[in-house]
Amino acid sequence: MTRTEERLRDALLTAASRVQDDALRPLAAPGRRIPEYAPRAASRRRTWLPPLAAAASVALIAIAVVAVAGYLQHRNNAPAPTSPAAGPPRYYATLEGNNRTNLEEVIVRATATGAVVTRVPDPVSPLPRGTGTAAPPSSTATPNPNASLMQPLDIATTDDRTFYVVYGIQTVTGYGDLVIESFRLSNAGQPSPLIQVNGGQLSGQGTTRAGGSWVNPRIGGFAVSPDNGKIALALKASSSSTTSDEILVIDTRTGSHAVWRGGLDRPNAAFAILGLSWTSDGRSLAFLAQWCSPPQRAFSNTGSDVCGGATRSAQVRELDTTSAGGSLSSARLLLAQSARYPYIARALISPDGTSLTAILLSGPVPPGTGLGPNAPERLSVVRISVGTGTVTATFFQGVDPVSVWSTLTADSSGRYLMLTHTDVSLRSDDTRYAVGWIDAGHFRQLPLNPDGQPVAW
Amino acid sequence: MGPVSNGADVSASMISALFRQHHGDLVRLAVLLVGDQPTAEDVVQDVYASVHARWTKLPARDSGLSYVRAAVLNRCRSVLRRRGVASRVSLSFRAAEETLASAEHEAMLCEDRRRVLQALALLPCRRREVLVLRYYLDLSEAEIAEILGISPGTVKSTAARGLAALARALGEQS
Repeated sequence: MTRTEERLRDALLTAASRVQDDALRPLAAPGRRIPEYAPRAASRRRTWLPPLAAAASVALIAIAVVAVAGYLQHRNNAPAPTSPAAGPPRYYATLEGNNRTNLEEVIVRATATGAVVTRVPDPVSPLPRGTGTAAPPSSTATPNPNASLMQPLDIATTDDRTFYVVYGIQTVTGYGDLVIESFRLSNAGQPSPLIQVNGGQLSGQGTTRAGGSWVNPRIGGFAVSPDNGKIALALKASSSSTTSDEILVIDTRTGSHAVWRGGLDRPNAAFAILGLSWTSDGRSLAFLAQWCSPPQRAFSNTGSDVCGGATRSAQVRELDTTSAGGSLSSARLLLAQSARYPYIARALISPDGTSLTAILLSGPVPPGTGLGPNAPERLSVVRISVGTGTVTATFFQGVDPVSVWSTLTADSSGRYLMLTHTDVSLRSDDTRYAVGWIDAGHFRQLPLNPDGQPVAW
Repeated sequence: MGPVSNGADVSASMISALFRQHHGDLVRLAVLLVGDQPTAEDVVQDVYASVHARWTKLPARDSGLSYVRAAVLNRCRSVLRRRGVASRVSLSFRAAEETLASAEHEAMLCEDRRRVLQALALLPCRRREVLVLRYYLDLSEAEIAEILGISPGTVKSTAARGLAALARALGEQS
């Protein structure tokens, strides 16, 4: 054995020896059923229901492009979309891990093929730089404690040309301010230089490493109004918040901020906002409110926002953003979780505000399928009338066993949807995603980078 | 290592027993890859829950541990990517040392070991995984190949390149 091998073995064994068996947090037994999740008939089946957060943490993300043009009107007699769309967006952007550098980066891909169109360089950190770098990707240089870098955390777009990215300023001590930058693609798919959005520097969202672990800032939603005049984010209301529990709206013309917080808290429950969407007039903002009771820690270190083995309830609400801010309780209730809609995973408001497009989950998995009972059998993407609360169109249905962690985004017309849901890989148990069309319930996959992140569509 | 067709081969209780028996070892493996214990514990918890949810499709019992180790490795990789940077690990080791600073800790993790761990953390993900599996778990090339889903030859060359890079970083002649 060489000297290097000896030193390596010694260092590994020593580092590993710091982990003491008797000091480990016990493994959470998958045994609690989620009442909203399991219909009455399920009570006769297995009662050990692994925690939702576990399913989310398995999250192997698959991204689907739901094409509903034509199909909607023919099959469901649906109303015409607010604005005609000649087709789906030509480009979409994602945050993906670079296998070479192990850094996140903004990548623009072509919808038609999934091919990489361009990679967007990260902006330069506004913090002073020392020599060296905060996180040398694959060099052997010593990290510089005075340096910083910009990490993309979320991304949004109003069309397939103008994209907005939330960057976190990462230093050795943790994350500092958030900065929103935008870029525009040329017809050839080349990005313009990044420009910081007016009012797009956000303080108070930083995180400090805990136990040596980086904790990403909580961004529960990120959406830009169709006229690019407002940017909405779901963020932490205070440094003590553990979830995204306030909505911040930035007026990009003036740089002013309006904040909505409080009013929807419930005793012994963790409140979180998941997902934001605008109406076409840029006045109303829809959000999904989620309560986890009891407020159980849910694998925060792995980035999951899902209730950890807890009872979950949800509502979809509509906020009038023309005011200067206020309480979240001022938001109008559009849809509530119920026996009819036992699990509203995500919801978007239509451009005209008359309907919601939602990811609904229902379960449980029938016995004998080999899938655990925490996995809902069905995933549906449907349109629900705000006025009547009834389903007026079904865009997609499928068996999706661990889709409790899902996202849904729409293009500016509201006609084309991008669905992010889990995709189980028994062999690799790794994050994967694919882009494809869902047309009349048929999923047609496109080639894609196997490690998916938020998508702007 | 494909899933078995008959789910009766593996029971949920066996999965629980497997994790109870190897809980600490799996967390230690994850710590060496992600750099801090809280995340490592979350990784193992995640894998436990996901495996538990699909126990009837797990591989045959004699390869169950390999499967779980592979799942832990993949989850570590995903966590590092999702949270931004694997290179944070290099900082995480430093942070962990700062956070856990104590006389005992300092005694255990001396400067030389810290340099080795920092150099290891700066390696590309695959090389780091191969070296951890080889020199921490003492797995053979064939076993590592099975876990990582690559050929034994690739394991060998990856390990050699990883060691060479480590040697350079540590100022040794490889």
